[in-house]
Amino acid sequence: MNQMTSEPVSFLLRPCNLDDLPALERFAAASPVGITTLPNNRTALADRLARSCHAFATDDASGEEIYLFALQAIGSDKVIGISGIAARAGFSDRFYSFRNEFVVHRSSALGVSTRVHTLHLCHDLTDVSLLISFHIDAAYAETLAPQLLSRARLLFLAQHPERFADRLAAESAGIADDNGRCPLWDAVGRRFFDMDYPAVERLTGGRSKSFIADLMPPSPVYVPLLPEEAQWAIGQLHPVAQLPFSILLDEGFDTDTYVDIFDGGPTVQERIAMLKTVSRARVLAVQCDDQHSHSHALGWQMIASAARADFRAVLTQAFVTAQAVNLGQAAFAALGVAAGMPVRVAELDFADDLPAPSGSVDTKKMGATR
Amino acid sequence: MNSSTNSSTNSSINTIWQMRPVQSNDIAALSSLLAQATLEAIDPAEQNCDDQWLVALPITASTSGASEPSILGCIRIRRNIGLAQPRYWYHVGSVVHAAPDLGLFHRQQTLLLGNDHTGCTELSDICTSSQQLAASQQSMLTRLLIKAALLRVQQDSLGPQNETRMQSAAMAQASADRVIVGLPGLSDCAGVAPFWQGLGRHFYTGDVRLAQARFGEAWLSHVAALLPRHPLVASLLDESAQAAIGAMHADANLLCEVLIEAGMRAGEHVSLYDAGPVYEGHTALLRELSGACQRRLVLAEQWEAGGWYLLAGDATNYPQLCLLPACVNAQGELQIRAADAQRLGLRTGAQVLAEAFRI
Repeated sequence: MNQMTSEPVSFLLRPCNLDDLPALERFAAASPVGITTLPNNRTALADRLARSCHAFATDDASGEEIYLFALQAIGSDKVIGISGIAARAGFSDRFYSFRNEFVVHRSSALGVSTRVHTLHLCHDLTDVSLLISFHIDAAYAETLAPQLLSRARLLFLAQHPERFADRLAAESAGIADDNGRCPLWDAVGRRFFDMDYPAVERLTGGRSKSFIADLMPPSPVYVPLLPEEAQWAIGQLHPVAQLPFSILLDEGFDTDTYVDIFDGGPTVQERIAMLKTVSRARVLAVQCDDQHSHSHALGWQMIASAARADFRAVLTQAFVTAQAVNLGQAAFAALGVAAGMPVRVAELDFADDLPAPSGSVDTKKMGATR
Repeated sequence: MNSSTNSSTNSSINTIWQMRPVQSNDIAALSSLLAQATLEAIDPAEQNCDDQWLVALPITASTSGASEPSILGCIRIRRNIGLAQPRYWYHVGSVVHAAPDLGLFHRQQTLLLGNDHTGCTELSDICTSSQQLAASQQSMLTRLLIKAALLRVQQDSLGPQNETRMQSAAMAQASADRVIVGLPGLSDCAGVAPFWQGLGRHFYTGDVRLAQARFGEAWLSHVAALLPRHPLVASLLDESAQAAIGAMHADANLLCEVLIEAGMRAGEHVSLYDAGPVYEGHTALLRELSGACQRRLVLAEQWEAGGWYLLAGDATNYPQLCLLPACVNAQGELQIRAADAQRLGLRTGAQVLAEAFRI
């Protein structure tokens, strides 16, 4: 990539702290309704930050933790992205999804076989771990920053497996207009509530959405009976979800099995050990080496410390040997560990494939969810 | 009281009627009543307990021994339906979604494909001649056909094996004791049903008319293999399809009234194609309502004023059913005129199942 040839910028991901409230508010306010898991409410956000701080600090994880991370460019204090992990989806409640299934109806007398798409309301993903709250400052959307923002969470998961399930899921926003109206909700959910989705969200007032699902019919939805617009929306992404989704797709998540029960956006899931960043990560000793680390021939590496409350992950060009990873001074300092300490290192090969600054994500890959 | 000597076209009042199993030489006469495809399905040689056609003809004084009277109506009695070829209906149920703390309460109709009426007795193909009968006569004859068919069904259930059957605790053949009639649902003048447009069409895109022409009524059993097996929430269908569920075509108003009078009611099932309602009744209840009972037949030369009775002999010896003037005498016997008995082939002393019939 050429846009950063003169002075490659390295990035740092760290746990959120209470001082990040203004940044959280900024990202929550910028998100369309129904798109984010961040409530657009100062008190609720402060509460969420406190929960996150407790999650990183506690030695007694119960499964209801959420972990929020903040992204910065190394050398700057500005928070340019937020991401998070919920330890257990639907903790203390049920996590609902629609599972795509196909049934083949056959009449030999009529000589007809038809493949019928059905959506089954299910709890399959209850208690898996969940990637949440991905928000990137638009100015950094086409840099490498979102890569670290999303993938470094996987290094944290790999570092602390006892706190998470062995399976990971992530919801992606589906098709909705600026007012939050979505075709799938109008075709299915609305039949049971007779109100549009934003109204339901206001009505439920932040309660678990599973209670809405409790009121949906337990029998499968036969997709051919839905209006075309709703059929088309199943498995489709909201434009804001394309970037984070493309990263999940590259990680090897299964994108075909589940969709969100409200807007039909794809809900991806995979065993954590199977994900690209997790499976290729190696534990190496970290060294500071300003000599080598400015060479353009070096690959981009994500390097995560082994700490929990003081977790740090950096994305930088680094010189990797069989036993060690050699970082430049700034990145080494940002990581906050002593030389020779073990760190988890995964190469970001996606950096070589990153589209040109004007380009968007690969729409052909987007279509793979249908 | 004299039996009418009017021609059959305007003689339903005071006319003796006979309902008898179809014969091969009836097919031509039936062609004005039934569609060609239905006609082809009738095989007089194959008339049996499970599939029987009754034809109705007026017996006037002038017809005795003379030319064959014209057939003015017919009805088909099918027992043990769905055993040779599975039959399907939608069961219309409901599901309630309630969240009291949010003030939400929604009751939804559901449709579930099933074979619920398998083993029942079905009355179908109920036709009367619109060319030869005035509207009021058609109405009366429809009522007569339904009552006659129900009487035939009741009489079968009173057969020699019946006592042991009634005593069997399990009543394993309970469904055999239920009678159903499927009424036509909503369709436009081209025969296209909004319910099919909203549901079936999405699962079978083929030409319905071709399938009907090729398979007859069995086409629905074949199409059922392509339809959803899980319960459907009706509100996911388009509005005109929802409105058609259980709605009856206006052409069936008369038949519907007759069924209700006989004690049948719309059940919880509808047809796969047009969602027309299925009326049903339990044989025992229908027998209670009809007031039919076994009586000994006696002949009288001297006629006393009485009402009209529908009577059925035991099916093997006397497969016809008759509507004729009669009265119940002090001994509880059914008294009919000797002349009528001779015309209809009835003998004194015969045991018949008789039901008073309001002309």
